[in-house]
Amino acid sequence: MTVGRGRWRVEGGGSSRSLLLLVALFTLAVLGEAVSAPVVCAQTAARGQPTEPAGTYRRPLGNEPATLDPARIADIYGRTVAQQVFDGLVRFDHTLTIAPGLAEFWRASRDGLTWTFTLRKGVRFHHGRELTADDVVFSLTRILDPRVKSGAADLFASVKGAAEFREGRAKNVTGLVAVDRRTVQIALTEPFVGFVNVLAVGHAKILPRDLVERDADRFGQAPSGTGPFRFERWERGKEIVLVANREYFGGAPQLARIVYRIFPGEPSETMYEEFRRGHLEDTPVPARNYRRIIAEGGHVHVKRPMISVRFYGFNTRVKPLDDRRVRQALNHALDREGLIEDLSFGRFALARGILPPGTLGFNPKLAGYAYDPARARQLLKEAGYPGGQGLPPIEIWANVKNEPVLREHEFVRRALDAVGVRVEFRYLTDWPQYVKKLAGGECPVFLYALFADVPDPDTFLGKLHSQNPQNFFGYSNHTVDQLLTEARREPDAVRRVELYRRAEQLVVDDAPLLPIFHYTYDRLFQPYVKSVEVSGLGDPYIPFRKIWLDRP
Amino acid sequence: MIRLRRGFSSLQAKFLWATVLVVFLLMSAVIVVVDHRLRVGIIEEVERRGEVLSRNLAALSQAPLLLYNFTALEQNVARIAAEHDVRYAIVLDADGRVAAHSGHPERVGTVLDGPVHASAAAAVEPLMQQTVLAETGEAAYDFAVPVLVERRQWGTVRVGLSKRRMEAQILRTRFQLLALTAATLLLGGAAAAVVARRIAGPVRQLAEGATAISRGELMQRIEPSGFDEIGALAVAFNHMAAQLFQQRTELEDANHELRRRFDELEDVKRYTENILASLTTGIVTVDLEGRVVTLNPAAEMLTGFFAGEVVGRYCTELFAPTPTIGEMLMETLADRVPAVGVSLILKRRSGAALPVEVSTVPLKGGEGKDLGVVAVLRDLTLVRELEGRLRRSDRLAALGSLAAGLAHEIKNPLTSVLTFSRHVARRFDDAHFRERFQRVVPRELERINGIIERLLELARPVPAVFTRLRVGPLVDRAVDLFANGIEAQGIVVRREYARDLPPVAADEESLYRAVINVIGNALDAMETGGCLTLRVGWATSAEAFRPGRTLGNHRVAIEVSDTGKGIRAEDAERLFNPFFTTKAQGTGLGLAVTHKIVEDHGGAIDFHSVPGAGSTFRIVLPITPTVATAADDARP
Repeated sequence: MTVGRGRWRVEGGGSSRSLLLLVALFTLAVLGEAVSAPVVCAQTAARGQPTEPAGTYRRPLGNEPATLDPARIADIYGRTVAQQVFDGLVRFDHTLTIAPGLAEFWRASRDGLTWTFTLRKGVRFHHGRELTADDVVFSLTRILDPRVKSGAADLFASVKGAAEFREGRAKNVTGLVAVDRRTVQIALTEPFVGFVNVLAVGHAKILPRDLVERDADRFGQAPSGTGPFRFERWERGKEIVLVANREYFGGAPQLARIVYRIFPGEPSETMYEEFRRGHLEDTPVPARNYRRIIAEGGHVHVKRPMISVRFYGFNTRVKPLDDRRVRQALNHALDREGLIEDLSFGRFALARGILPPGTLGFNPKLAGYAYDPARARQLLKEAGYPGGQGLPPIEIWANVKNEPVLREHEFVRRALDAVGVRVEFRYLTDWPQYVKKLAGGECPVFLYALFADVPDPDTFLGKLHSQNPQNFFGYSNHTVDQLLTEARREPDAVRRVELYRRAEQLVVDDAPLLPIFHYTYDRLFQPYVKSVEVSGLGDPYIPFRKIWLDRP
Repeated sequence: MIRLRRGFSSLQAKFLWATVLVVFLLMSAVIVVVDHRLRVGIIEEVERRGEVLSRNLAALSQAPLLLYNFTALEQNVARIAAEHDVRYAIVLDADGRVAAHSGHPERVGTVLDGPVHASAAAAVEPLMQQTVLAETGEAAYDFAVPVLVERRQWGTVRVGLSKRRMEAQILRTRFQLLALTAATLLLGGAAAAVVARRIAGPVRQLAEGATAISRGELMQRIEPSGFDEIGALAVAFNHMAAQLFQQRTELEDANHELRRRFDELEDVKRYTENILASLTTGIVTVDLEGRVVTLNPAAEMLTGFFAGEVVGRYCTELFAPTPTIGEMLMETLADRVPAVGVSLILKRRSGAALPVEVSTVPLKGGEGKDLGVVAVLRDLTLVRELEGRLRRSDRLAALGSLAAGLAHEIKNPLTSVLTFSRHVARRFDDAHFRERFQRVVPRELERINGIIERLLELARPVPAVFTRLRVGPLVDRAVDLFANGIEAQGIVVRREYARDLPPVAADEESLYRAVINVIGNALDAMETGGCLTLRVGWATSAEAFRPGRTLGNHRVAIEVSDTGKGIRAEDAERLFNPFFTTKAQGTGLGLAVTHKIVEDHGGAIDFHSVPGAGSTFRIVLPITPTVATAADDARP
């Protein structure tokens, strides 16, 4: 098993597509979109609740999804749609505890190496075929398939035979066995407490083997799952339509259909306008006129902290950033509170370290780096760049180039200029390209964000393990590696917290990144939208099955 | 006293025992209720605690069960078992095998044996069982809560809760309650004893005092015990005794006084009754309605009715035969004016009549209250008889004096005639003698004749029939007879005649002569220049008789007043005697005749005189003379 890959998943961050997600998330951040957590605007009032699926829910989609194949999805847009079409063996409920999904029951051996899942009886794919254990084995094997390039592949690295399979030495994953039509057995190479959580990530959806094998690409454009909504059509650049799956095992959804309207480039003001005209059921809040819009009313405003962190990452292997003092100096040089106020009108929470509030191990006492230009200059001087002399211009990469980002960059430029550091901004708005560049270590400083699939510290700190493929920082600290590995295996929550806190402190001291803020989920809903349960994992994970529209 | 004492000490004991009993019963009830409630409460609390603990463990264990995080499960059971009264905490997996055991980690993976374990493992909903721990033998609760996810059982948590603490608590509570009861009984009993003594002592005193009072010993006093009700009772008792004593004394005094007054009253009554009974005058009283109230024996005799017959009946019935009396009574009753001295003829029940004098006077009580009328009937029979007898003796006496006077009057002329007759023979030739003879003898004889005639007139019987005549003209006619003399003497005549006088029944000739006699006397009494006053009118008397008041009482008076020399007191007695005269030429028969005429008419004559100033003669005549008078006069 590879150190740094494990149980916990970072949405969009487990693969080379993380940057694409970053783009989306960044834009979200700037425009006010955010992930949220449990049951924020849930209205469980039964008044007017339809007994039959009724009404159309129109959602804005900030970009065209690349695919709807769950294993391949790396952006928030595809995930948002696929989450309604597919089911995993297990799922997170709105309190972020694990709950049965397609598997109605499972048991684990005492050593935690063998897991046996029993599937629900009579679950059918949208195209009519009944789900079998074979589909499960197929779907999970597929994640591990290098050709699929699933962002979750490393999460399943501990499955017995995964390595052999990935390296092409085996045709099958020996640890994934369909015992009978309704029983799947998964064997692990090492005891993995909480292995079930892995099965809840967005990638690990169960797909119909027949359709995927017939034409995987086409399946990505017209998927068929077991979920509460059935894919109907996808008009490029316009909309994706889902309709209710009345045979859903968890009960028919309340909505008759969901229409995802595609607004390329996340134009939140346009979305908001449409929302105002009643053409959308929800919208992100535009940054411009943010306060006025919030004050206007006529909508339900959902706002809550999100398990996320946004930061500028440093490539610790290139000069002059290989010097810890330079990285620390940059941390001291930026007035992040001012920046947050400027960017988000104080909506977002200042990030002192890496772990967001709400995750296990979050340390409220973590000091971090205070805004201290004098200290920054001092550190630069110590590093041999007094007043920035001898310091080459530093490239800062971003995958999005719009007005707020430019404004932010101007702010950064002035801040660093003040301590004598010159910067150059580079923009690469193609997400896969961006991620590739990051993986190649070509970006000395890069704008990035991490969101949790699972509220687990490993989602965030795991990225700083020297062996983590998403470690774009080139960061390597043996003690940190040891702490993270130990923490992943530790079943005792208290001890895990301790381990993660020690690791985080070491990372913050080494300053391989400049944390900016934690996002806040911030979205407007039409007042007639009922039973919105915003889980801690954010917007894509809202269970639309429960939503209904209270209007004639 | 002994009996009382015992009675009260038994009251005291009763009170004491009753209080103790009530306290005991009350406390027993309280203990039963409180003990029950506390026990139930303690048990409930323990049960709730077990339920909460087990549910808590179930909630804690859900996620680890789904994740098969046995470490977390073990941590959870260890945490729950750390509670002092939790004997064990177990998590069973879906197969009922031990997933985590707080006390016996070696049992993990096994299926626990025994009925309690079996039913706990099979529980599909929270289950509480009583069990006995195998190791220590102590009683315990076993709480089993299945962990359900989407209606599927993922495991069962079990918590064993020792009963020891609970039982100890129940025992302690019970002990405290018993101690409380004992204390309450003691305190209550002591308090009751004190109160009983405080109440019973004064009550006994009171009872003794009351007993004494009932024997009549009123001088009972009790020392007040304090300012409470008992003290107030003692004070009230003392006050009552004092009042009783005082009132009894007063009552005795009043009784004495009353008896004395009653005796007095009785005496007075008897006295009055005796007086009334001994009276010969009849007394009849009537009430305001005119009913007879009393009738004394004399009245019974007079009326012929017995008091028993007529008392309560109207007086008009009593006097039915003589309605005048009834009318008088009713009139007096109506106008409250007395009528006095009315002479009547009372007709008795038997039909006999007798003369009575009746007076009716209003009866007044104290403060002038009208009570009725009393009628006084006086029997005049004796008076009338005496009057008649007196009249006869008067007449005899008058006859005696008349005979003497007659002899005296006749003797003188007879003597002259006798003398002359003796001298006739001897002195017949004497012319002087003859001339004297012729002058004296006839004159003397004439005088004798005159006397005889007057006597005859005096003896003449009363004329039987009266005629009605008016008095005024009769008086005028009599005065006219003396017109020459009056004129010669220069006498003034005044006439005062009342109008509307009825005619009077009388014999005109005799009444005329009577009036002439009186007027002649008056003229003789006066010298030149006198005044003769003549009055005719209703007879007004001092008895306040109202004119016209009673029939038969109408009388007419004739008064003749002169301004002469008057009558001497020694002459007044004999004025009406025959042959009494103060005049040189009078025969002394004029006033006697006049007196007889007036009496014949049922009237009366009297006079009053002031010597030297004049005399007044008054003749009173009834308008209708009474039959009685007529009969009376007719008899002799």
